[in-house]
Amino acid sequence: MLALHADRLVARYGPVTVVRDATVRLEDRSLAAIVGPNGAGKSTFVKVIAGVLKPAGGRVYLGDEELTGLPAHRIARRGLAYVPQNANVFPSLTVVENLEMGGFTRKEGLRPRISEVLDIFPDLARATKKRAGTLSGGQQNMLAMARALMLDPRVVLLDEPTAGLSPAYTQVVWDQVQRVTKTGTAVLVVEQNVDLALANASYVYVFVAGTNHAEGPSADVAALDLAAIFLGRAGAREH
Amino acid sequence: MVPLPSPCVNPYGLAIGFGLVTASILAIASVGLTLQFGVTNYVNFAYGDFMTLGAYLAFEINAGGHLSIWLAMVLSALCMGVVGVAADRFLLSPFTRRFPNLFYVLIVTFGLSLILLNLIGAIWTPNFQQLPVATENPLHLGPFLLTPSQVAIFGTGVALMFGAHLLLTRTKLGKAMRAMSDNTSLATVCGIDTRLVTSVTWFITGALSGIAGSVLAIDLGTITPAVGETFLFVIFASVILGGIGKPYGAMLGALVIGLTTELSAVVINPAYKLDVAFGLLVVVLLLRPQGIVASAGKA
Repeated sequence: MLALHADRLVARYGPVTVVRDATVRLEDRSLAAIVGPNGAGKSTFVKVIAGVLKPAGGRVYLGDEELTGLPAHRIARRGLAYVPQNANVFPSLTVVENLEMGGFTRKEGLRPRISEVLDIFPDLARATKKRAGTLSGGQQNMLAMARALMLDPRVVLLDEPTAGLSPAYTQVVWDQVQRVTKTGTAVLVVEQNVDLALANASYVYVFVAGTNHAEGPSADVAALDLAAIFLGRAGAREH
Repeated sequence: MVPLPSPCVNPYGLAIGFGLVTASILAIASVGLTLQFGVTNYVNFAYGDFMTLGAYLAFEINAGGHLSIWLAMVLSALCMGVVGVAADRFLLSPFTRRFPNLFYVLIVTFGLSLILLNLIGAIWTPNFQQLPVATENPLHLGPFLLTPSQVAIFGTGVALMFGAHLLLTRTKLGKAMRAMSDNTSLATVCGIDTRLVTSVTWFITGALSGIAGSVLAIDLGTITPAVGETFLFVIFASVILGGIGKPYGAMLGALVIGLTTELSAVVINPAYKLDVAFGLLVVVLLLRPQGIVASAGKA
């Protein structure tokens, strides 16, 4: 069943159109990635889905429910979690307090959910009383993901979760992303590292100049001349 | 009302007692101001006038309603909470949405300060007013010599700081305020209704300004439309000293400023108390620009 459908989204920063008619479909329990060169509008696209930016066009559906234009806090409450690339934890709050903020709108079951989430991220379980600002970059990204899971979301959007991490740690992060999908949550990842995206996601979207350029199962996208696409040497759009 | 010391009282003990009272008033005001800054990210120059309005309201309720000044202070605090929410909802939030540049908001709060100052002068006259506080005999409490009102002010300050600590560390609302102080945008994508938290913050900090203004006036025994504005600069000193946007820093800054100013009055002319406060601020900023309490995030 379709968990997320972002249909022909348009986003602008002032007079500049950054995303034009971009579309993503995400099945329940699936792991998809968006790749593309710098300035392709990948991050802006997920910000619009999450309600951080207002769309200038297009529609967003979570299952059958339309989310278009809702404020970010209402979108989060409906089951769509978003993890930004930068500043994705509350640095002065402890690890547990960060998780509490992730579950802010939970009416009940906050403590059991924190335990469940810490089971998925055992590294964090050893640092529950540490301030998030004192964690390493990789641990902060883990905490950001853990926080996003606190409301049992149907979909999680991750904006470049491996940005700035050492090569040794990037696969650790992706392993955690795989574990998240096994809990029943669909994940859409914006990833700058194409090889990592192709190796881990089951379906990949290629964005160029703010719109879909190609998409398909990872193996099919891997067969494309992505270097040429990224460098602007590609001709016709490939789907 | 500064009670006359008896010859056997140690002047330093006396000064520490007065310093604790001053620190209590400062801490109430400073925590309010720094919480406003932490959550909204702008400095409210009208905060001193909020205090003055709170003080006048308390004494109006006290005189008109024949209620005790302490009960009047509580009612005044509730009124000032509503004034705070109204200032945010109808003036500052709409303005920040249209003009996000924080410098403009600063000017708006400065304008609000002038409006309140003149409004208070128009309603209650710009003259000094003696408050109808009964003459009190000072109490010997260890090395301190304090009036019952000053003891009550100290107790109010301690109780409110403990309440602020519980709010910030034990409640969802307080943690959300700290989260917003770190990153408002991230708080929003966590599902937190940041507009609601902002309004509640304005209510709490407005109430704190009302209490701070009332206890300041009770301690001074007189009131003028400029009383809060004059005190605002000392509040800024303690907020900056502790680290802007950090409530625990503001408490510590208030304690340091309160004690230092009163102790300095033992050895130099008390007229220079404010100069000592600002001198201390300059020294701390030179040595530790981030303030005494340095940690990630504002709150």
